[in-house]
Amino acid sequence: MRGKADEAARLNRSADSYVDLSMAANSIATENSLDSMPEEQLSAMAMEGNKQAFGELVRRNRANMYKWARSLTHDHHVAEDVVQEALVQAFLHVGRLADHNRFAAWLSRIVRNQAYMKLRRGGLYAKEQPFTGIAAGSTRPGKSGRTESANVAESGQDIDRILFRLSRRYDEDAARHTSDPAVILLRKELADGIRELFSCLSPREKEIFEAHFFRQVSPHEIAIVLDTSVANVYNSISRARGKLQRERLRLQISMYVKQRRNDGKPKAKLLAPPILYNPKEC
Amino acid sequence: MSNRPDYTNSFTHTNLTDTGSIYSILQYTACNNFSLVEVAGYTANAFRIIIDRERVNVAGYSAFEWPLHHQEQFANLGFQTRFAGGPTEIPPTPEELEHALELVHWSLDRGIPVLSWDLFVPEFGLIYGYDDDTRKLRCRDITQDGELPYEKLGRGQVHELYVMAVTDYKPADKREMLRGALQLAVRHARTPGYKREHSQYRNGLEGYDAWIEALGRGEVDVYGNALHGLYVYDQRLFAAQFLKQVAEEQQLLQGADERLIAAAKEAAIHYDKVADALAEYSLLFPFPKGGDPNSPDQAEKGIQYLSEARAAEAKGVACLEAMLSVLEEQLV
Repeated sequence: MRGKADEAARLNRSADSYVDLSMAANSIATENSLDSMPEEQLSAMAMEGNKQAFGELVRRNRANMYKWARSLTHDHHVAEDVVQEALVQAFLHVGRLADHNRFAAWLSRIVRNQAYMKLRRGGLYAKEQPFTGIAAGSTRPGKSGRTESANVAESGQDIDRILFRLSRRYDEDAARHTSDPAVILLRKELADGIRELFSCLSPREKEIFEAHFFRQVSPHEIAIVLDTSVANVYNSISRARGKLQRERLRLQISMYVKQRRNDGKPKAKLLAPPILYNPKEC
Repeated sequence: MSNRPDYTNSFTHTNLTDTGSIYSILQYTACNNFSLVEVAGYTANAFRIIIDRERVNVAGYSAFEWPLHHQEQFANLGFQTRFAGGPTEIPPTPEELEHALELVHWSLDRGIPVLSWDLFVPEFGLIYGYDDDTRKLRCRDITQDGELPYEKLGRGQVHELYVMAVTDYKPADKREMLRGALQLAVRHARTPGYKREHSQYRNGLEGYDAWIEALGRGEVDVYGNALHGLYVYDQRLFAAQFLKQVAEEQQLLQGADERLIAAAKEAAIHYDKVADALAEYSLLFPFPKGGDPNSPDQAEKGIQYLSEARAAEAKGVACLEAMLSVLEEQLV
């Protein structure tokens, strides 16, 4: 089991390192007590924000997640993407897990949603991805089926809480591990970057975006709770999405440029102007 | 011959922006002695025609699988290539953009610009500089020379990312290059391109048929029609010139095959006729205003010119096939 999970963790691609959950999984190696804990207890701890418990749950379930994803997508790389996306979703939502007896079932539902999403988007040939994978879901996590729109009002703070948790996690990791400080710094910057990324949204956009994308509340439900029109909600979602996409592009480029600088690559280059087309020809 | 406007500035300019961009890239490599005519010929770009069968829309000339074709064309000149993106009609994800920027940086750091698409307009162009401080690329296309922010790559007028860089170069034997070009040209003339059967686009001789039919229905896009008149005319001027030069070069070779020379000369005559007919066509429907191609009178005239062009091109293609069979005999 351990070997399998390690292998699965190795398969995690570095591009997804901003949610490098294998790191959390590794950090529990010293805490043997978690190994023997029942899943139910771990879920309860994870819901309270215990990342080691969450890491242990991931360790136990990752191989299965991959198997589910693989059986749905029939492709190794797509399946790996699905698992990564599902882990992000799970990490972001674990605080809202309705029933801690059902962590594995809940996780499998997230995997399935992610896989369908990928397939709907054209699988291997899908190009555009919103920040979270979930864009069109009407299914919601939480087996009780309770309507989650009641919580919309507090949702603006939800993103902040998640992002705070993310960046704090990197601080702690940095303190605990003595691995490459440059890598840790980059990760920390990325987590801060995500926080920065969301700061481009107005509080109301944040609220709507969070409800729609993270908790998959339908625009109709959001409109009722916020006492506004469905058209307004759609506009807001689309505006927030556009802003976030632009921010994310900017962020990715800035990470990339920083990496080039760290690697000692040239800062600028200007070749002789091409023979065609001379501006006078234009 | 007398009625030919010279848009190519004596074969130093072309409106085919991938030909122009490839030619420009070669200047930074060990393969910098080819003329624009040779590049148009050895890439077989001079022999292309792609037409939207419904309305002769503006997208015909670029309605092909860019990476696939440019890879083949560069390979025929002796180059290996790497690319990112293609004609997807989808903007790149941040990861895809980063991947493309890596390729751009890699190529520029070794002193060679990269081929790209839709830098300032939806045409092919070149990226020939970068600045990480300002996060801007230095670019040139047929309309403009200027800077482009990193994040705008793949987010121009149309949303799709494409960059291609040359990697290794191994000088190719000229006869093999000729054979490769003829293979590309004949295949393009005779068989539908990659995934084209199910699209609205037709290539090669079928491209002329589609064009003639659209004109006959009186439903062509005025701008797209004029643009393709101009482009295909430009291409066939280069085709005829290329074939004349091939005939001349072959004559100077020891032990040259007379059949090859004769077929090249005859092909040049046919492609000249194609160019003559298309010259008339592009005078009738001048770019960019385009005349009135949907009026029955002008359409009838246009159909007459296109039919002449098609008939001459069919003979030209037969000559290319004759050249090809001689070369295949020689190069077993």
